[in-house]
Amino acid sequence: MSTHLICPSAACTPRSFSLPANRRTTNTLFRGFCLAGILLLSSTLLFGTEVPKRKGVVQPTVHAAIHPVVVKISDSRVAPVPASEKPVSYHAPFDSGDCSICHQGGDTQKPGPVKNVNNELCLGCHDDFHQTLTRKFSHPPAQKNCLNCHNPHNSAQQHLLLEEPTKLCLGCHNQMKMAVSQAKVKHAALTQGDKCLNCHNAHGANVEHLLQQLPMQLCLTCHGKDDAVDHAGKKLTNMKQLLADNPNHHAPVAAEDCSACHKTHGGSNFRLLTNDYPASFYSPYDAKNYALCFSCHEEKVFTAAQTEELTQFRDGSRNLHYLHVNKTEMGRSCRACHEVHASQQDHHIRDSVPYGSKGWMLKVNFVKSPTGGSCSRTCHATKTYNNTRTSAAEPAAAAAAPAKP
Amino acid sequence: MPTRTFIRGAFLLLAWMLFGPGVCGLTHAQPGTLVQDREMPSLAGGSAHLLSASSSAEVIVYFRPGQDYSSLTLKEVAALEKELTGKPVHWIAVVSDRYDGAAALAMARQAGIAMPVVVDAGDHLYGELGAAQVPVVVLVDQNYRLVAYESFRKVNYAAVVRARIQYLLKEINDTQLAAALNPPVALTDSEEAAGSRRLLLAAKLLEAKSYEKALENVEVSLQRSPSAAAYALRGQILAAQGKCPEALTAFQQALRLDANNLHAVEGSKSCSAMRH
Repeated sequence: MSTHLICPSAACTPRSFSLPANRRTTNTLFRGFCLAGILLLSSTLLFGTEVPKRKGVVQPTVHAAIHPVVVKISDSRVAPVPASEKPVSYHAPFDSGDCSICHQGGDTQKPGPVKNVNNELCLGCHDDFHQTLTRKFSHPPAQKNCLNCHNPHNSAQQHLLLEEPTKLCLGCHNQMKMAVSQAKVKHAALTQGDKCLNCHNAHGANVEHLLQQLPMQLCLTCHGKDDAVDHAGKKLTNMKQLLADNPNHHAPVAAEDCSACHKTHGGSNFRLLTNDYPASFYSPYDAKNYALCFSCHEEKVFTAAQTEELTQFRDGSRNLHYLHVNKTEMGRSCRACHEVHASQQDHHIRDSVPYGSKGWMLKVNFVKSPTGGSCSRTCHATKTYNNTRTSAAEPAAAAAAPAKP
Repeated sequence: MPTRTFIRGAFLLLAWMLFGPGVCGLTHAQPGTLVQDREMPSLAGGSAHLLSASSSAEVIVYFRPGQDYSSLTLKEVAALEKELTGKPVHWIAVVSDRYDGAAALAMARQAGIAMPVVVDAGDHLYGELGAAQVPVVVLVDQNYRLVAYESFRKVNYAAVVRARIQYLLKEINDTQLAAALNPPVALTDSEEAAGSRRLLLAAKLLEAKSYEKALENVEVSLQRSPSAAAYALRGQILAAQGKCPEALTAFQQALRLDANNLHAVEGSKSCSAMRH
């Protein structure tokens, strides 16, 4: 193993770098320098090279499990990229031939060791990263060494990245690599634009999983437009518009957590749903089909014929959720009555339902009342329900102990 | 006819105000709802109170066994319980009597929670809270008023619950709570940061007496993010090149943006002295 961090065996001549030729010219003295550098670097990486702790700054949460303490930084990864590889990003000092900004020598052919082996050298100019790396959540490779991901000279990738973002990230995130490659339904966010960096800040973030923002805010950057389409080219709903037009938001939407129901890195269910959910209006009742909804909602709500606690959609104790959904044939799926993202009406009741093959929408005509509500003239004649208690026994709660004065 | 419509409307509005949200309004209980204390059977034996008279914050964790999201929630809450040990927070985990108590207790213990796990017999609490979704963390204040009903979320759940508790404990203010609920965007880069980088590079180049390149970088910095520091550095570079009249102009530009910029003040003095 050798390293470029201390002493690039390649010359630092901008845009004219030729790795084999330069390697042949490396002299013995320089090799000695390299060896010393390797030893220094190894010890640095073994024992960690972290951003200096500042007084009064909360240290970020890091997840060391994924990243081994030792990160190998090889010659070829941080050496200048030859012109034949068509570099597209250049580090300013390298581009202008000012090797001495980072190296101890100013000779572009033999710039010698770098002035400092840890991130302090980079942060000397990139001072905003002092703050970035102390955000609540931090990325260990960034904390350890900028060269884990960046070439300090030039790169065929944007932002001086060593490889294209997905390859670079999945080089460490093996489980994610497997999940992404095995996903039957792909998410374009992983393959378009900045790929992983569309959603994640690889240095530090204020949201878990190094997300740049809360999930929904990120999702809406693409799904808040009229021109979003799925992998089959089918137009997708402009969610930003839908949420703005419909004030009653489903709890995960209100919590801005799309990932509660959608697998953002790809999955096996349509619309990237985390679990099974009937795509159709009618579906024979089977708990397995509703795994998505039952990951939060109680299955019992749909299996108990009678209740006075589990749901407000009941007539007395007659459970109307059970009545609608729990049928061996033509059971109504959740989508038959509910909007899963947002609705005009309370309880996420949808305004209308599809009818026939011509795209007709029939009004549900749900009317809420102080003690329940009614639906009329679409699926059935007007039916009213009353969810006031019929049993004499009041909940033990109210009687057990008085409220705190 | 319009009078009858008006009266009917007014009657409906009155009925809604009296019975609406309290009886069957939104799915779950809303902030401000009074939560009744009660003694509930504990899965470990004996009983425990749902609420505590001596606490500033009450945390009710409604969960169910054999469910991934409940397991994740309990683990997050366990970490918070440990983190906030010693503070006046009353923690209680609740499970419906529809589930196997032993399995619920095992799940709670495996997650590492120390709080009592009590049984909601007949789903009375579930019904009162209008829970609809489980798991849920319900935050109640010292007056037993519900302040927040936090359904499960995969991202930042612990951060939200922690902030809610800290707010009840008066450890954070409204602004800090808002920042926890809606964290600031973590930008990757900004024009200001890029400008600052060029400025620092220019300073290093000045130090290395590479004046022309230093000046080039100052100009880039000024294009991206004009600042007193950038104008002052331009002045310093020009002064080092012996171009005092131009340097003075740059120092004056810096002082217009920041009258206290030390480099500009000193540089102006030096250049003025040289001119005289």
